[in-house]
Amino acid sequence: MSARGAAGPPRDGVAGPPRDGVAGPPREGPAGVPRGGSAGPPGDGPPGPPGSARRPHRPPVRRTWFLATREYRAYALREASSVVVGLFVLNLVIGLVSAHRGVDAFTRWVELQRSAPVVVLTVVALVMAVVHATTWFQATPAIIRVRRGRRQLHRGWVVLAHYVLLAAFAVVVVLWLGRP
Amino acid sequence: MSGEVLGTITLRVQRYRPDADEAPHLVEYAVPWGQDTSVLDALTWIKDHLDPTLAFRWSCRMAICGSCGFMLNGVPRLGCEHFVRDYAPGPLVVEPLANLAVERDLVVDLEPFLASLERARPWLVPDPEDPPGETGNRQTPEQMLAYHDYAMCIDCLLCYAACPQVALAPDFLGPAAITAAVRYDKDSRDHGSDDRLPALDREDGLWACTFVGACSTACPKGVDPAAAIQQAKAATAAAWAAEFLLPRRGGRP
Repeated sequence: MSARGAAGPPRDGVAGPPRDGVAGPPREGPAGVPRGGSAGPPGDGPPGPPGSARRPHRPPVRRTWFLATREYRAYALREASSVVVGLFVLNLVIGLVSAHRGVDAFTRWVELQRSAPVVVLTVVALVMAVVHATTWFQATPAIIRVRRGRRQLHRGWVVLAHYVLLAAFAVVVVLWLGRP
Repeated sequence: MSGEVLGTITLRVQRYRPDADEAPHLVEYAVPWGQDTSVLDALTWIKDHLDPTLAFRWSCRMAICGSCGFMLNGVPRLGCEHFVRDYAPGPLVVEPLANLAVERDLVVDLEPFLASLERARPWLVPDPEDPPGETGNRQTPEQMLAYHDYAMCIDCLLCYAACPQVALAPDFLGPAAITAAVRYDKDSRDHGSDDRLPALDREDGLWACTFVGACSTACPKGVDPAAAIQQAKAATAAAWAAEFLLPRRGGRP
């Protein structure tokens, strides 16, 4: 592209229009919209080049912005997963309260766990807990940087360390639950 | 066109003239392209041959100045380092950087970012009790590595265009400004961390970041602003805990 040789307006910095020939005549902006800059709208203050009138446009944010890109969707899923896990924990808290209230209340809570909605919640919570844990494990190398001299530990080791810790914790919990 | 013309691509360029347009709109241009035609070249061709009123920023043409950031088919990129051939046969939609106010056509308002950058105080603060003197500030290669990657930022604002929090929380300090602060916080020659903390440890500072991570994906220089921000969160939380357990006399300077 040999655009360099072509005669045209100055091009370093902001390549703004030196004239308004193609753009058409300037006209008033919407009522109530303030205009800054050195020139302002025609008839308002000293005359100046119409291109210098400022009226910055700020595009609105869509309510569904979190669906716009794959990265946003992954983020939204990671955040939403904690809500489902939170509902599961709420169910457990209700179980603890039921146990505190007595045998009848706790029996009713146990019966409730066999109902379809609670089974679905439990299964979805398991999936979401896995999603939440794995996505955060993948994110942690950004926070934990291990440097030895001039070399940096590969991010994979940091992720692996999290899985090892999780496995160790799971073994301890299983042993504790299975104790005589 | 310095080489062989391989085809023509349709560029849909967002136009906005504050003195003439109620709102931004797309205008189509047919642009010839060759093997080495960058998107910035294509825009320059439009300006030279089709419409001299098209406004956009550019300077170095080699991904150093950070001036020519645009949304290319909705993705924040530098116009000089992406080639039209990768978007052929098109159409290629060229819009100003997202999440920033548009001044004209592809030119965005940089003033809020420059104010944020100033709040982050991105400069070396020497030790007041032991100024560098004639020997200057000495640093080992290991000490330099601690901040080197964060020093690569060219303030192109692609990270601002990628970050949803910039759009949702307009007062958010933003990825590049926070990274600039972290770059100096991690510099062994610097003693200005306490001065930067008030700007960082705020709801619209570090804590507005929700770690989407899109800023790091968008960065053309591999800076990883998301990592800088999360590390700063951890350091700030540790500093808060230290202050809570062992308060300094007279509080924070």
